[in-house]
Amino acid sequence: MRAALFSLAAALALSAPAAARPATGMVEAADYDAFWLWAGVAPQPVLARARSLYLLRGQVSAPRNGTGPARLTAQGGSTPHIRPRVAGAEVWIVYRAHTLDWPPGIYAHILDDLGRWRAAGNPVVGVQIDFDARTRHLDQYAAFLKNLRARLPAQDRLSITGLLDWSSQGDPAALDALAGVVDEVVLQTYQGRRTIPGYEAYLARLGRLKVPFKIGLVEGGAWTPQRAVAANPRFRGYVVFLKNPHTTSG
Amino acid sequence: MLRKLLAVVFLAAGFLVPACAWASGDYGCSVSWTLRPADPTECDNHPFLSPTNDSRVNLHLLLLDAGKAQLDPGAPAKWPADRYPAQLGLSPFMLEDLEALIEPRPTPAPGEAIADNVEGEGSRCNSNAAGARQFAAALGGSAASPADRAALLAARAALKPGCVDNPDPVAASAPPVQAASPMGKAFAAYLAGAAAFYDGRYDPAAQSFGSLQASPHPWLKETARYMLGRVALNRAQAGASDEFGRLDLAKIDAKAVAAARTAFEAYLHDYPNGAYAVSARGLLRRVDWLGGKDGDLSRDVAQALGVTDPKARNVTEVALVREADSKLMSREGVQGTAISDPLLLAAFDLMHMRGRDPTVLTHEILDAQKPIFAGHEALFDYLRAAYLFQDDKNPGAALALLPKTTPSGPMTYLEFSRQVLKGLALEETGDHAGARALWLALMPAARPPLQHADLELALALNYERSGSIDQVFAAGSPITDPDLRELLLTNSAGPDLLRRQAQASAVPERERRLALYTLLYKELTRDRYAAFVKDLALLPPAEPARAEQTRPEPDLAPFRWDGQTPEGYVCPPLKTLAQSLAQDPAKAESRICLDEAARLGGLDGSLGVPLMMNQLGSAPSQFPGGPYSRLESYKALLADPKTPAAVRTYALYRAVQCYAPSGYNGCGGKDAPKSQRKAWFQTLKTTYAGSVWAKRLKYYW
Repeated sequence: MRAALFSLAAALALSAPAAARPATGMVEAADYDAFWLWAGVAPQPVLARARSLYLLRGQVSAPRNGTGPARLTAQGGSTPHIRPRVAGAEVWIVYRAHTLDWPPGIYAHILDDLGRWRAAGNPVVGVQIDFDARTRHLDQYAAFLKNLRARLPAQDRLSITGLLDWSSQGDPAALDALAGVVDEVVLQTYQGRRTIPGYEAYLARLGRLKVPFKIGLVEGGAWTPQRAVAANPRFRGYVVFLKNPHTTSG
Repeated sequence: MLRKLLAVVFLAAGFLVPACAWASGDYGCSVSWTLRPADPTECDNHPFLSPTNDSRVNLHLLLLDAGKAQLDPGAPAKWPADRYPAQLGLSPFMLEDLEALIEPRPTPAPGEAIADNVEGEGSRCNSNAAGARQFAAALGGSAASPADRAALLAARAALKPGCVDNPDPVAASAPPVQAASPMGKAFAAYLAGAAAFYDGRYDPAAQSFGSLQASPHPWLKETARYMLGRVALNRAQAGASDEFGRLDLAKIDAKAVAAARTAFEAYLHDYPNGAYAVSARGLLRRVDWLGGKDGDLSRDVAQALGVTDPKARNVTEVALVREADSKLMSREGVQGTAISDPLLLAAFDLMHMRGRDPTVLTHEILDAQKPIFAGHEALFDYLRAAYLFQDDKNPGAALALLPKTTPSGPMTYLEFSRQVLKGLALEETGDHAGARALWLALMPAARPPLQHADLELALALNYERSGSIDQVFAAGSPITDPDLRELLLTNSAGPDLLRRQAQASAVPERERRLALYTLLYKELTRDRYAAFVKDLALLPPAEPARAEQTRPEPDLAPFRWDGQTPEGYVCPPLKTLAQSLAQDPAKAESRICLDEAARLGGLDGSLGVPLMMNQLGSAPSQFPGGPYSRLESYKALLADPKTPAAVRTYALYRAVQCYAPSGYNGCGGKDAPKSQRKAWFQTLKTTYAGSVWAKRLKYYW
């Protein structure tokens, strides 16, 4: 409610990076043009208008009880052949990570994926790592990303998802270390499949982030455009996590 | 949701991040501190068969009971320190937590490349690396001429398939090898088949492998027969992927599925213990799935789950449970009538007790399943009881189906489930004393570690509900989970209990600090100043900054405040201030300094936020008084005509600053509309234009 005071200004300021959207209320996928498509989530017609697509490809799980190497579980079937309807649309390959201790085989597999997707004509621009880095581990995460960056071909971009409290709780030096390593951070305003209450207060403190960032929304979640976000020169738009109409899984 | 809100408040206060913080993707969650989560998340699994558990957790519990999986005997007494979200107790838990405890684990394959760390639903190309090794080994021992061998090896190594299921025509990725020796020719035919297979050219692939079905070379012969099944299986899916690489089951080529089944069954008939027998059996499950044969899939999954010899299966129990869930139990449109295995059916039924879908589960449908549960009568009765409890809200009827006696020895998960459901039903009927007696009686029999942790939560909820949380903290209390104890101390405990725990020598230092922090904070902000002054004596001497903890500890420094403010507003030291407040609690000069203590000590919004209903810590607090907020305090000072100008100007300045710089209230209390903030600003700028605070304030937000 309280954010409604500047919603109009925010909507105006935000109209450049993404399509028009309601000033407040529920996240409607049709109002956006960048999406995550996760395993088990059925593609929706709205994908036809996507400028950016983040497709889950696999999950790197920690070794059980500390023994053996981390494992990559492939998700999502065969190599896609995405022919975007929107000119210049981008595809990102997403890997979830529960651990940062990767054996060489996993890096090799990711490079393989990149090559294979590209060979199939997909407009792949890079890799996104979705790691649940606690703020106190940001320094380790920065080191990991630096290493990954060095392994990726120069043409490929590196994106990461980020947690809301990075901007307020994170170690500033570690946050700065992300600049120049990753090309973007997509900050999640949701947890599980719901919007985090109080997200506004976190977003108000985004000034500390030195990396271009996007705001991750969840379809059907709450979102009111934020003045502090719109005013930030590093803001690059929104990504919406698509959901199934009704989820029975789990 | 409130639970998450609490996290925001705690973070803002710079202390005590509760058990759950932020997460990303579809991962991450908040714990509901109850055995009956109303809105379960991934963090809300319990070690009893429950409709609110992840269906895979329920299946694991059933398989553990059946001896088809084992818990790591060295299972930890707590989750690893880097678990996310951090949690000090063992229950509730996440699916991944349980999976990490289940054996057998995948065998590490040291020194092997790429595909060996990769599992799951990849593409047919996942077998390329292993296929190349086997090809080289077979070729090495064959009668092919050395020149042919060299050429074939080089060609096989050069085969780097893309496995693109692409509607565009694909050129052959490897030129055929022109071999001279007869055996060389046979291997060349095999290689041509493999290249065509990986390229997605299934006709030539089938042709090549078909030509080797009677090969005198045993490896070629066996492998070609197996590959014929894989060719058909991949052909069946060839045109069925959408542009995102996802299979559309409606587009599967049914004829090719049937051909794959015939080929794999024929292979298994001739090679029941063949090199590819395990793989062929696994691929038959895929045939079942692609063919929409839920009944066959149920049978084959159950068969695979029954195989405990690690050599006889190529997937772990964990992977198989995930497969059973995604391909069968959780798939849209699957009916229980297709499931012939009692364990799979039980997990399926529990999942469908969450919501009413009368086409999938009703009491009549459940009753009709009775024959499937022959030999599993206790499980069947449990399902009926769980359904009556969950869906019909009929705890009395559920109790009639639950055990009358309490076990004295270790319990299976089913027995534990029956006892826990009995306890929950007793609570629901209002028999809290009976439930408490049950929780206590089960404690010694609860198999560590998960069961005991869950009983601690059940018992803590019972004590809280009956207003006797002192029992939780009594000597010899079985409730040792720090999360549970901290929830009760911060949310529910009254002053006496907090004072006792602040001095209890038998509890961890963290608990003492938390109790003292809560006691002092609540006394200071709830008008108990004399008690505050007295209890200040419990404050340990100032200490150097502590190293960062996994979970931040409450910082007691705010209670040693010397009255200094960076802005130069003058206040007495906190103890003197509290003494003045004890004499005259309404004195404006004292009240605004109390606000300063809260502001500078980071106490805004600390503690006192109500938790989600029916969770531990949500019962009315035994600490008298309501939550404090600076904004409300400023409002009261501004509303009081007796407030002196010096205090009034500072209160105006601070009230506006509550919204700096984001426009969001950081001081707690009821939000002030922007018009109000503007009015405060203008009053300060006009009525008190000469004051230092009017000069300092440049904007309102």
